[in-house]
Amino acid sequence: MPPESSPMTEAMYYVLLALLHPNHGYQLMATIKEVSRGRMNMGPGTLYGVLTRMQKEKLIRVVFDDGRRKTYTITNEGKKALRQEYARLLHLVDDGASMKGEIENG
Amino acid sequence: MGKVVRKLHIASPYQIGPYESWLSDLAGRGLFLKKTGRVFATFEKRDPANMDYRIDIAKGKFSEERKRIYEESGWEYVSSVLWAHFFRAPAEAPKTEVHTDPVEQGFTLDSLRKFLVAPVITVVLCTLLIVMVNCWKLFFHGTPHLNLIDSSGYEIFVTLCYIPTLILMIKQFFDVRALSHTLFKGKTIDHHASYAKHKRFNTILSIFAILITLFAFANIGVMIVTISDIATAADSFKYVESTEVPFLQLRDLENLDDTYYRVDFSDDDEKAAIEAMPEGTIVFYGYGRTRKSLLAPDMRTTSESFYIIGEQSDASLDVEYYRLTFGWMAEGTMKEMMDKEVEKYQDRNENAMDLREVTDEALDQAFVATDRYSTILFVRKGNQVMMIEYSGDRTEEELLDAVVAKIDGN
Repeated sequence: MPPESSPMTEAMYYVLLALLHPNHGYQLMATIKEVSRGRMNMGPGTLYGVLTRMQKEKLIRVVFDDGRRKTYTITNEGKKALRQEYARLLHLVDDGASMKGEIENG
Repeated sequence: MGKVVRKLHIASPYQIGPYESWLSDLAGRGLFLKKTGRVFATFEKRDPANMDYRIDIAKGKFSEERKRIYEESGWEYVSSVLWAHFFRAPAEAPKTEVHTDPVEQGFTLDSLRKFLVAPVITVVLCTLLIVMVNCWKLFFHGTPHLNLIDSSGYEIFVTLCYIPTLILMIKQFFDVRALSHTLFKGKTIDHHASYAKHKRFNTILSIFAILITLFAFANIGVMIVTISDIATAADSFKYVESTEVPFLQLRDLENLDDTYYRVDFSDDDEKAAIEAMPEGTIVFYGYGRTRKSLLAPDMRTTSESFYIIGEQSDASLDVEYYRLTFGWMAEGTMKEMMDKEVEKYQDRNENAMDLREVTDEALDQAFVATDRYSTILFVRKGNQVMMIEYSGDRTEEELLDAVVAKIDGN
Protein backbone atom coordinates (compact mmCIF):
# COMPACT_ATOMS: atom_id res chain seq x y z
CA MET A 1 0.00 0.00 0.00
CA PRO A 2 1.22 3.56 -0.65
CA PRO A 3 2.59 5.20 2.49
CA GLU A 4 -0.18 7.82 2.53
CA SER A 5 0.01 8.64 6.23
CA SER A 6 3.80 8.68 6.22
CA PRO A 7 5.77 11.95 6.06
CA MET A 8 6.53 13.82 2.88
CA THR A 9 9.22 12.26 0.71
CA GLU A 10 12.52 14.08 0.40
CA ALA A 11 11.81 14.70 -3.28
CA MET A 12 8.46 16.34 -2.48
CA TYR A 13 10.03 18.51 0.20
CA TYR A 14 12.72 19.84 -2.10
CA VAL A 15 10.34 20.44 -5.00
CA LEU A 16 8.08 22.46 -2.68
CA LEU A 17 11.08 24.40 -1.43
CA ALA A 18 12.21 25.06 -5.00
CA LEU A 19 8.73 26.20 -5.99
CA LEU A 20 8.53 28.92 -3.38
CA HIS A 21 9.52 30.90 -6.47
CA PRO A 22 7.78 29.94 -9.75
CA ASN A 23 10.03 27.62 -11.66
CA HIS A 24 10.10 25.28 -14.65
CA GLY A 25 11.53 21.86 -15.58
CA TYR A 26 15.27 21.95 -15.98
CA GLN A 27 15.71 25.10 -13.92
CA LEU A 28 13.78 23.36 -11.14
CA MET A 29 16.31 20.51 -11.12
CA ALA A 30 19.12 23.02 -10.88
CA THR A 31 17.37 24.93 -8.06
CA ILE A 32 16.84 21.71 -6.08
CA LYS A 33 20.53 20.92 -6.43
CA GLU A 34 21.37 24.42 -5.29
CA VAL A 35 18.90 24.45 -2.35
CA SER A 36 20.17 21.06 -1.18
CA ARG A 37 23.74 22.33 -1.59
CA GLY A 38 24.51 19.64 -4.14
CA ARG A 39 23.24 16.79 -1.99
CA MET A 40 20.09 16.18 -3.98
CA ASN A 41 20.58 15.44 -7.69
CA MET A 42 17.00 14.64 -8.62
CA GLY A 43 16.35 12.40 -11.61
CA PRO A 44 13.97 13.68 -14.31
CA GLY A 45 11.57 10.74 -13.76
CA THR A 46 11.36 11.48 -10.07
CA LEU A 47 10.91 15.22 -10.71
CA TYR A 48 8.00 14.70 -13.11
CA GLY A 49 6.46 12.02 -10.89
CA VAL A 50 6.47 14.45 -7.97
CA LEU A 51 5.16 17.35 -10.07
CA THR A 52 2.26 15.25 -11.40
CA ARG A 53 1.33 13.92 -7.97
CA MET A 54 1.57 17.25 -6.17
CA GLN A 55 -0.42 18.96 -8.90
CA LYS A 56 -3.14 16.36 -8.42
CA GLU A 57 -3.02 16.94 -4.66
CA LYS A 58 -3.23 20.72 -5.32
CA LEU A 59 0.04 21.41 -3.49
CA ILE A 60 1.40 23.10 -6.63
CA ARG A 61 -0.17 24.55 -9.76
CA VAL A 62 0.84 25.58 -13.28
CA VAL A 63 1.09 29.35 -13.65
CA PHE A 64 2.32 29.45 -17.22
CA ASP A 65 2.04 27.01 -20.11
CA ASP A 66 2.81 28.07 -23.68
CA GLY A 67 2.82 24.46 -24.95
CA ARG A 68 6.63 24.35 -24.90
CA ARG A 69 7.28 25.04 -21.27
CA LYS A 70 5.30 24.79 -18.03
CA THR A 71 6.01 27.00 -15.04
CA TYR A 72 4.89 25.75 -11.63
CA THR A 73 4.39 27.46 -8.30
CA ILE A 74 3.48 26.35 -4.80
CA THR A 75 -0.17 26.81 -3.66
CA ASN A 76 -1.32 27.93 -0.20
CA GLU A 77 -2.08 24.31 0.58
CA GLY A 78 1.44 23.42 -0.55
CA LYS A 79 2.90 26.14 1.69
CA LYS A 80 0.91 24.77 4.62
CA ALA A 81 2.17 21.23 3.93
CA LEU A 82 5.74 22.56 3.63
CA ARG A 83 5.48 24.45 6.95
CA GLN A 84 4.14 21.32 8.69
CA GLU A 85 6.94 19.20 7.27
CA TYR A 86 9.53 21.82 8.19
CA ALA A 87 8.19 21.87 11.77
CA ARG A 88 8.26 18.08 11.90
CA LEU A 89 11.85 17.99 10.69
CA LEU A 90 12.83 20.64 13.26
CA HIS A 91 11.29 18.48 16.00
CA LEU A 92 13.25 15.52 14.73
CA VAL A 93 16.49 17.50 14.74
CA ASP A 94 15.72 18.96 18.21
CA ASP A 95 15.04 15.52 19.60
CA GLY A 96 18.21 14.24 18.05
CA ALA A 97 20.18 17.24 19.34
CA SER A 98 19.12 16.48 22.94
CA MET A 99 20.84 13.12 22.57
CA LYS A 100 23.65 14.38 20.33
CA GLY A 101 26.40 13.01 22.52
CA GLU A 102 24.92 9.51 22.68
CA ILE A 103 24.30 9.50 18.93
CA GLU A 104 27.82 10.61 18.10
CA ASN A 105 29.54 8.37 20.59
CA GLY A 106 27.16 5.41 20.33
CA MET B 1 19.42 2.88 -41.62
CA GLY B 2 20.23 -0.64 -40.46
CA LYS B 3 18.07 -3.72 -40.94
CA VAL B 4 14.85 -3.65 -38.95
CA VAL B 5 13.91 -6.62 -36.74
CA ARG B 6 10.58 -7.17 -34.98
CA LYS B 7 10.30 -9.09 -31.77
CA LEU B 8 7.44 -10.06 -29.49
CA HIS B 9 7.61 -8.29 -26.14
CA ILE B 10 9.55 -10.46 -23.74
CA ALA B 11 7.36 -9.26 -20.89
CA SER B 12 4.97 -6.46 -20.17
CA PRO B 13 6.92 -3.13 -20.42
CA TYR B 14 5.54 -2.50 -16.92
CA GLN B 15 7.89 -5.28 -15.78
CA ILE B 16 10.48 -2.52 -15.75
CA GLY B 17 13.67 -4.28 -14.53
CA PRO B 18 13.49 -7.45 -16.69
CA TYR B 19 12.37 -5.47 -19.73
CA GLU B 20 15.23 -2.94 -19.42
CA SER B 21 17.65 -5.83 -18.94
CA TRP B 22 16.38 -7.52 -22.11
CA LEU B 23 16.78 -4.29 -24.13
CA SER B 24 20.35 -3.82 -22.85
CA ASP B 25 21.23 -7.42 -23.78
CA LEU B 26 19.81 -6.95 -27.27
CA ALA B 27 21.83 -3.73 -27.75
CA GLY B 28 24.89 -5.77 -26.76
CA ARG B 29 23.98 -8.07 -29.68
CA GLY B 30 23.51 -5.14 -32.07
CA LEU B 31 19.74 -4.70 -31.82
CA PHE B 32 18.65 -1.22 -30.78
CA LEU B 33 15.08 -0.44 -29.82
CA LYS B 34 13.43 1.74 -32.45
CA LYS B 35 9.72 1.57 -31.73
CA THR B 36 7.37 -0.18 -29.36
CA GLY B 37 3.94 -1.45 -30.28
CA ARG B 38 1.35 -3.27 -28.20
CA VAL B 39 2.49 -6.71 -29.35
CA PHE B 40 5.86 -6.20 -31.04
CA ALA B 41 8.95 -4.12 -30.42
CA THR B 42 10.94 -2.99 -33.48
CA PHE B 43 14.74 -2.99 -33.39
CA GLU B 44 17.35 -1.55 -35.69
CA LYS B 45 20.52 -3.51 -36.41
CA ARG B 46 23.70 -1.55 -35.66
CA ASP B 47 27.13 -2.20 -34.20
CA PRO B 48 26.76 -3.79 -30.75
CA ALA B 49 27.14 -1.36 -27.86
CA ASN B 50 26.88 -1.37 -24.12
CA MET B 51 23.64 0.54 -23.52
CA ASP B 52 21.50 1.29 -20.49
CA TYR B 53 17.74 1.44 -20.98
CA ARG B 54 15.19 3.01 -18.67
CA ILE B 55 11.43 2.73 -18.75
CA ASP B 56 9.52 5.54 -17.14
CA ILE B 57 5.84 5.19 -16.33
CA ALA B 58 3.53 8.12 -16.94
CA LYS B 59 0.05 8.68 -18.30
CA GLY B 60 -0.10 10.20 -21.79
CA LYS B 61 2.53 11.50 -24.15
CA PHE B 62 5.75 13.10 -23.00
CA SER B 63 5.95 16.82 -23.79
CA GLU B 64 8.95 18.11 -25.74
CA GLU B 65 10.04 19.97 -22.62
CA ARG B 66 10.00 16.74 -20.64
CA LYS B 67 11.95 14.86 -23.32
CA ARG B 68 14.51 17.69 -23.40
CA ILE B 69 15.00 17.53 -19.65
CA TYR B 70 15.60 13.76 -19.83
CA GLU B 71 18.05 14.43 -22.65
CA GLU B 72 19.89 17.03 -20.59
CA SER B 73 20.11 14.40 -17.85
CA GLY B 74 21.81 12.09 -20.35
CA TRP B 75 18.83 10.02 -21.59
CA GLU B 76 17.77 9.79 -25.23
CA TYR B 77 14.02 9.35 -25.76
CA VAL B 78 13.30 6.27 -27.92
CA SER B 79 9.62 5.39 -27.94
CA SER B 80 6.40 5.05 -25.93
CA VAL B 81 3.64 2.50 -25.63
CA LEU B 82 0.64 3.11 -23.40
CA TRP B 83 2.03 4.29 -20.03
CA ALA B 84 5.60 3.07 -20.74
CA HIS B 85 8.19 5.52 -22.09
CA PHE B 86 11.60 4.22 -23.19
CA PHE B 87 14.94 5.99 -22.82
CA ARG B 88 18.52 4.90 -23.38
CA ALA B 89 22.07 6.07 -22.84
CA PRO B 90 25.52 4.56 -23.41
CA ALA B 91 26.44 2.65 -20.26
CA GLU B 92 29.68 4.59 -19.74
CA ALA B 93 28.19 8.06 -20.40
CA PRO B 94 27.77 10.43 -17.44
CA LYS B 95 24.07 10.79 -16.59
CA THR B 96 21.61 11.36 -13.79
CA GLU B 97 19.55 8.26 -12.96
CA VAL B 98 15.93 8.69 -14.20
CA HIS B 99 14.49 7.80 -10.81
CA THR B 100 16.39 8.81 -7.71
CA ASP B 101 13.60 8.15 -5.20
CA PRO B 102 12.02 4.63 -5.17
CA VAL B 103 9.07 5.73 -3.03
CA GLU B 104 8.16 8.44 -5.54
CA GLN B 105 8.48 5.88 -8.35
CA GLY B 106 6.19 3.64 -6.27
CA PHE B 107 3.52 6.37 -6.36
CA THR B 108 3.75 6.45 -10.17
CA LEU B 109 3.40 2.67 -10.35
CA ASP B 110 0.49 2.87 -7.94
CA SER B 111 -1.30 5.34 -10.26
CA LEU B 112 -0.82 2.80 -13.06
CA ARG B 113 -2.19 0.03 -10.82
CA LYS B 114 -5.31 2.11 -10.13
CA PHE B 115 -5.70 2.81 -13.85
CA LEU B 116 -5.47 -0.93 -14.63
CA VAL B 117 -8.31 -1.89 -12.26
CA ALA B 118 -11.10 -0.94 -14.69
CA PRO B 119 -9.65 -2.82 -17.76
CA VAL B 120 -8.93 -5.89 -15.61
CA ILE B 121 -12.48 -5.93 -14.23
CA THR B 122 -13.87 -5.37 -17.76
CA VAL B 123 -11.88 -8.28 -19.20
CA VAL B 124 -12.82 -10.56 -16.28
CA LEU B 125 -16.53 -9.67 -16.65
CA CYS B 126 -16.39 -10.07 -20.45
CA THR B 127 -14.76 -13.48 -20.07
CA LEU B 128 -17.36 -14.55 -17.52
CA LEU B 129 -20.13 -13.31 -19.80
CA ILE B 130 -18.64 -15.09 -22.82
CA VAL B 131 -18.24 -18.32 -20.80
CA MET B 132 -21.84 -18.10 -19.58
CA VAL B 133 -23.29 -17.33 -23.03
CA ASN B 134 -21.27 -20.10 -24.64
CA CYS B 135 -22.15 -22.61 -21.94
CA TRP B 136 -25.79 -21.74 -22.46
CA LYS B 137 -25.39 -22.14 -26.25
CA LEU B 138 -23.49 -25.38 -25.80
CA PHE B 139 -25.95 -26.98 -23.43
CA PHE B 140 -29.02 -25.58 -25.15
CA HIS B 141 -31.56 -28.40 -25.66
CA GLY B 142 -29.27 -30.61 -23.55
CA THR B 143 -27.26 -31.57 -26.65
CA PRO B 144 -23.70 -30.28 -26.08
CA HIS B 145 -22.08 -32.80 -28.45
CA LEU B 146 -24.40 -31.98 -31.35
CA ASN B 147 -24.15 -28.23 -30.71
CA LEU B 148 -20.38 -28.44 -30.54
CA ILE B 149 -20.20 -30.47 -33.77
CA ASP B 150 -22.51 -28.05 -35.56
CA SER B 151 -20.45 -25.04 -34.58
CA SER B 152 -16.99 -26.66 -35.00
CA GLY B 153 -16.31 -25.94 -31.35
CA TYR B 154 -16.87 -22.23 -31.91
CA GLU B 155 -18.08 -21.75 -28.32
CA ILE B 156 -14.90 -23.23 -26.91
CA PHE B 157 -12.80 -21.26 -29.40
CA VAL B 158 -14.38 -17.91 -28.52
CA THR B 159 -13.90 -18.62 -24.82
CA LEU B 160 -10.27 -19.64 -25.39
CA CYS B 161 -9.62 -16.42 -27.31
CA TYR B 162 -10.24 -14.44 -24.14
CA ILE B 163 -7.96 -16.58 -21.99
CA PRO B 164 -4.54 -15.16 -23.09
CA THR B 165 -5.86 -11.59 -22.75
CA LEU B 166 -7.32 -12.42 -19.35
CA ILE B 167 -4.09 -14.04 -18.12
CA LEU B 168 -1.96 -11.15 -19.45
CA MET B 169 -4.18 -8.48 -17.92
CA ILE B 170 -4.35 -10.16 -14.52
CA LYS B 171 -0.63 -10.92 -14.49
CA GLN B 172 0.19 -7.35 -15.54
CA PHE B 173 -2.00 -5.95 -12.79
CA PHE B 174 -0.43 -8.08 -10.06
CA ASP B 175 3.10 -7.46 -11.40
CA VAL B 176 2.55 -3.69 -11.24
CA ARG B 177 1.07 -4.05 -7.75
CA ALA B 178 4.03 -6.11 -6.54
CA LEU B 179 6.51 -3.67 -8.08
CA SER B 180 4.89 -0.63 -6.46
CA HIS B 181 4.97 -2.44 -3.08
CA THR B 182 8.68 -3.18 -3.55
CA LEU B 183 9.36 0.47 -4.40
CA PHE B 184 7.34 1.71 -1.42
CA LYS B 185 9.65 -0.37 0.77
CA GLY B 186 12.50 1.74 -0.61
CA LYS B 187 14.01 -0.97 -2.81
CA THR B 188 15.22 0.33 -6.17
CA ILE B 189 14.58 -1.40 -9.48
CA ASP B 190 17.22 -3.88 -10.60
CA HIS B 191 17.97 -2.71 -14.15
CA HIS B 192 19.76 -6.00 -14.90
CA ALA B 193 17.08 -8.35 -13.52
CA SER B 194 16.75 -11.77 -15.14
CA TYR B 195 14.06 -12.03 -17.79
CA ALA B 196 14.24 -15.81 -18.34
CA LYS B 197 11.06 -16.49 -16.33
CA HIS B 198 9.12 -13.86 -18.33
CA LYS B 199 10.50 -15.22 -21.61
CA ARG B 200 9.24 -18.70 -20.71
CA PHE B 201 5.83 -17.40 -19.72
CA ASN B 202 5.48 -15.33 -22.91
CA THR B 203 6.63 -18.25 -25.08
CA ILE B 204 3.96 -20.53 -23.60
CA LEU B 205 1.30 -17.85 -24.04
CA SER B 206 2.46 -17.17 -27.62
CA ILE B 207 2.25 -20.88 -28.51
CA PHE B 208 -1.24 -20.93 -27.03
CA ALA B 209 -2.20 -17.82 -29.07
CA ILE B 210 -0.73 -19.38 -32.26
CA LEU B 211 -2.74 -22.58 -31.69
CA ILE B 212 -5.92 -20.54 -31.24
CA THR B 213 -5.13 -18.61 -34.45
CA LEU B 214 -4.53 -21.86 -36.36
CA PHE B 215 -7.80 -23.22 -34.98
CA ALA B 216 -9.56 -20.05 -36.15
CA PHE B 217 -8.12 -20.38 -39.67
CA ALA B 218 -9.04 -24.08 -39.79
CA ASN B 219 -12.57 -23.18 -38.72
CA ILE B 220 -12.84 -20.49 -41.40
CA GLY B 221 -11.45 -23.00 -43.95
CA VAL B 222 -14.11 -25.57 -43.06
CA MET B 223 -16.80 -22.89 -43.26
CA ILE B 224 -15.63 -21.87 -46.76
CA VAL B 225 -15.54 -25.51 -47.90
CA THR B 226 -19.04 -26.08 -46.52
CA ILE B 227 -20.37 -22.92 -48.18
CA SER B 228 -18.79 -23.90 -51.53
CA ASP B 229 -20.24 -27.41 -51.13
CA ILE B 230 -23.69 -25.95 -50.60
CA ALA B 231 -23.17 -23.68 -53.61
CA THR B 232 -22.11 -26.52 -55.88
CA ALA B 233 -24.50 -29.18 -54.56
CA ALA B 234 -27.42 -27.86 -56.57
CA ASP B 235 -28.08 -31.43 -57.58
CA SER B 236 -28.71 -33.07 -54.24
CA PHE B 237 -29.21 -36.37 -56.07
CA LYS B 238 -25.49 -36.51 -56.64
CA TYR B 239 -24.86 -38.71 -53.68
CA VAL B 240 -28.37 -40.09 -53.40
CA GLU B 241 -27.60 -41.78 -56.70
CA SER B 242 -24.05 -42.61 -55.77
CA THR B 243 -23.15 -45.95 -54.22
CA GLU B 244 -19.92 -44.49 -52.81
CA VAL B 245 -21.49 -43.14 -49.66
CA PRO B 246 -20.82 -44.19 -46.09
CA PHE B 247 -24.42 -44.24 -44.90
CA LEU B 248 -27.35 -46.54 -45.48
CA GLN B 249 -29.38 -45.99 -48.64
CA LEU B 250 -32.70 -47.29 -49.77
CA ARG B 251 -30.91 -49.19 -52.56
CA ASP B 252 -29.14 -51.23 -49.83
CA LEU B 253 -32.54 -52.52 -48.71
CA GLU B 254 -34.61 -52.66 -51.87
CA ASN B 255 -34.10 -53.59 -55.47
CA LEU B 256 -34.12 -50.26 -57.25
CA ASP B 257 -33.06 -51.43 -60.71
CA ASP B 258 -34.96 -49.83 -63.54
CA THR B 259 -36.07 -47.05 -61.30
CA TYR B 260 -37.20 -43.66 -62.42
CA TYR B 261 -35.47 -40.98 -60.33
CA ARG B 262 -37.91 -38.18 -59.88
CA VAL B 263 -36.21 -34.81 -59.88
CA ASP B 264 -38.72 -32.15 -59.04
CA PHE B 265 -42.16 -32.48 -57.47
CA SER B 266 -43.15 -29.03 -58.65
CA ASP B 267 -42.39 -29.85 -62.28
CA ASP B 268 -45.75 -30.42 -64.01
CA ASP B 269 -44.14 -31.89 -67.13
CA GLU B 270 -42.37 -34.50 -65.03
CA LYS B 271 -45.59 -35.25 -63.18
CA ALA B 272 -47.41 -35.83 -66.47
CA ALA B 273 -44.56 -38.04 -67.71
CA ILE B 274 -44.74 -40.20 -64.54
CA GLU B 275 -48.51 -40.56 -64.87
CA ALA B 276 -47.96 -41.91 -68.38
CA MET B 277 -45.48 -44.56 -67.17
CA PRO B 278 -46.56 -48.23 -67.13
CA GLU B 279 -47.69 -49.98 -63.97
CA GLY B 280 -44.88 -51.58 -62.00
CA THR B 281 -42.50 -48.65 -62.57
CA ILE B 282 -40.56 -47.72 -59.47
CA VAL B 283 -40.60 -43.97 -58.88
CA PHE B 284 -37.85 -42.80 -56.54
CA TYR B 285 -37.39 -39.46 -54.92
CA GLY B 286 -34.64 -38.40 -52.60
CA TYR B 287 -32.64 -35.47 -51.44
CA GLY B 288 -29.72 -34.92 -49.19
CA ARG B 289 -27.70 -32.32 -47.40
CA THR B 290 -24.04 -32.42 -46.58
CA ARG B 291 -22.20 -30.34 -44.03
CA LYS B 292 -18.71 -30.18 -42.61
CA SER B 293 -17.33 -29.16 -39.28
CA LEU B 294 -13.94 -29.38 -37.61
CA LEU B 295 -15.42 -31.95 -35.26
CA ALA B 296 -17.30 -33.85 -37.96
CA PRO B 297 -15.69 -33.74 -41.42
CA ASP B 298 -18.66 -35.63 -42.86
CA MET B 299 -22.23 -34.89 -41.81
CA ARG B 300 -25.13 -35.94 -43.98
CA THR B 301 -28.86 -35.96 -43.84
CA THR B 302 -30.81 -37.82 -46.47
CA SER B 303 -34.42 -38.58 -47.09
CA GLU B 304 -35.36 -41.18 -49.71
CA SER B 305 -38.63 -42.79 -50.71
CA PHE B 306 -40.15 -44.73 -53.57
CA TYR B 307 -43.46 -46.13 -54.69
CA ILE B 308 -44.48 -48.51 -57.42
CA ILE B 309 -47.06 -47.33 -59.92
CA GLY B 310 -50.23 -49.40 -59.63
CA GLU B 311 -49.12 -51.21 -56.49
CA GLN B 312 -49.64 -50.61 -52.75
CA SER B 313 -45.94 -50.84 -52.17
CA ASP B 314 -43.68 -48.05 -50.96
CA ALA B 315 -40.81 -47.42 -48.59
CA SER B 316 -38.98 -44.51 -47.07
CA LEU B 317 -35.65 -44.05 -45.40
CA ASP B 318 -34.37 -41.05 -43.46
CA VAL B 319 -30.77 -41.06 -42.37
CA GLU B 320 -28.64 -38.79 -40.25
CA TYR B 321 -24.96 -39.66 -40.51
CA TYR B 322 -21.91 -38.31 -38.68
CA ARG B 323 -18.27 -39.18 -39.19
CA LEU B 324 -16.61 -37.53 -36.24
CA THR B 325 -13.05 -36.28 -35.86
CA PHE B 326 -12.81 -37.82 -32.42
CA GLY B 327 -14.20 -41.30 -31.79
CA TRP B 328 -14.73 -40.51 -28.11
CA MET B 329 -17.50 -38.12 -29.06
CA ALA B 330 -19.52 -40.88 -30.72
CA GLU B 331 -21.23 -42.23 -27.60
CA GLY B 332 -22.39 -38.80 -26.40
CA THR B 333 -23.45 -37.80 -29.90
CA MET B 334 -25.58 -40.92 -30.34
CA LYS B 335 -27.14 -40.53 -26.91
CA GLU B 336 -28.15 -36.96 -27.71
CA MET B 337 -29.57 -38.02 -31.09
CA MET B 338 -31.66 -40.66 -29.28
CA ASP B 339 -32.84 -38.20 -26.62
CA LYS B 340 -33.88 -35.73 -29.31
CA GLU B 341 -35.70 -38.41 -31.27
CA VAL B 342 -37.46 -39.80 -28.19
CA GLU B 343 -38.69 -36.31 -27.37
CA LYS B 344 -39.88 -35.72 -30.94
CA TYR B 345 -41.60 -39.12 -30.98
CA GLN B 346 -43.45 -38.37 -27.75
CA ASP B 347 -44.62 -35.05 -29.12
CA ARG B 348 -46.06 -36.81 -32.21
CA ASN B 349 -47.45 -39.94 -30.54
CA GLU B 350 -49.39 -40.66 -27.40
CA ASN B 351 -47.10 -43.46 -26.29
CA ALA B 352 -43.39 -43.31 -25.51
CA MET B 353 -40.82 -44.71 -27.93
CA ASP B 354 -39.97 -48.29 -27.06
CA LEU B 355 -36.20 -48.03 -27.36
CA ARG B 356 -34.13 -51.12 -26.58
CA GLU B 357 -30.50 -51.99 -26.95
CA VAL B 358 -29.56 -54.72 -29.41
CA THR B 359 -26.19 -56.37 -29.48
CA ASP B 360 -24.24 -56.84 -32.62
CA GLU B 361 -20.57 -57.69 -32.46
CA ALA B 362 -19.87 -55.64 -35.56
CA LEU B 363 -21.10 -52.47 -33.89
CA ASP B 364 -20.01 -50.59 -30.78
CA GLN B 365 -23.60 -49.95 -29.78
CA ALA B 366 -27.04 -50.16 -31.32
CA PHE B 367 -30.54 -49.24 -30.20
CA VAL B 368 -33.77 -49.95 -31.97
CA ALA B 369 -37.38 -48.87 -31.64
CA THR B 370 -40.23 -50.20 -33.72
CA ASP B 371 -43.87 -49.31 -34.08
CA ARG B 372 -46.48 -50.21 -36.63
CA TYR B 373 -45.23 -47.65 -39.13
CA SER B 374 -41.48 -47.58 -38.87
CA THR B 375 -38.25 -48.85 -37.39
CA ILE B 376 -35.82 -46.40 -35.85
CA LEU B 377 -32.24 -47.50 -35.47
CA PHE B 378 -29.31 -45.79 -33.75
CA VAL B 379 -25.88 -47.27 -34.35
CA ARG B 380 -22.30 -46.26 -33.73
CA LYS B 381 -18.99 -47.78 -34.61
CA GLY B 382 -15.66 -46.06 -34.07
CA ASN B 383 -16.12 -42.47 -35.08
CA GLN B 384 -19.31 -43.08 -37.09
CA VAL B 385 -22.80 -42.47 -35.79
CA MET B 386 -25.99 -43.10 -37.74
CA MET B 387 -29.67 -42.67 -37.10
CA ILE B 388 -32.03 -44.46 -39.47
CA GLU B 389 -35.76 -44.20 -39.70
CA TYR B 390 -37.15 -46.79 -42.07
CA SER B 391 -40.66 -47.48 -43.20
CA GLY B 392 -41.16 -50.47 -45.49
CA ASP B 393 -41.23 -54.25 -45.72
CA ARG B 394 -37.75 -55.05 -44.37
CA THR B 395 -37.48 -56.51 -40.88
CA GLU B 396 -35.46 -55.08 -38.00
CA GLU B 397 -32.80 -57.81 -38.50
CA GLU B 398 -32.51 -57.15 -42.24
CA LEU B 399 -32.11 -53.45 -41.49
CA LEU B 400 -29.41 -54.11 -38.91
CA ASP B 401 -27.51 -56.45 -41.29
CA ALA B 402 -27.61 -53.82 -44.03
CA VAL B 403 -26.27 -51.19 -41.63
CA VAL B 404 -23.45 -53.48 -40.48
CA ALA B 405 -22.51 -54.25 -44.10
CA LYS B 406 -22.43 -50.52 -44.90
CA ILE B 407 -20.61 -49.32 -41.83
CA ASP B 408 -18.03 -52.13 -42.15
CA GLY B 409 -17.30 -51.02 -45.69
CA ASN B 410 -15.99 -47.69 -44.40
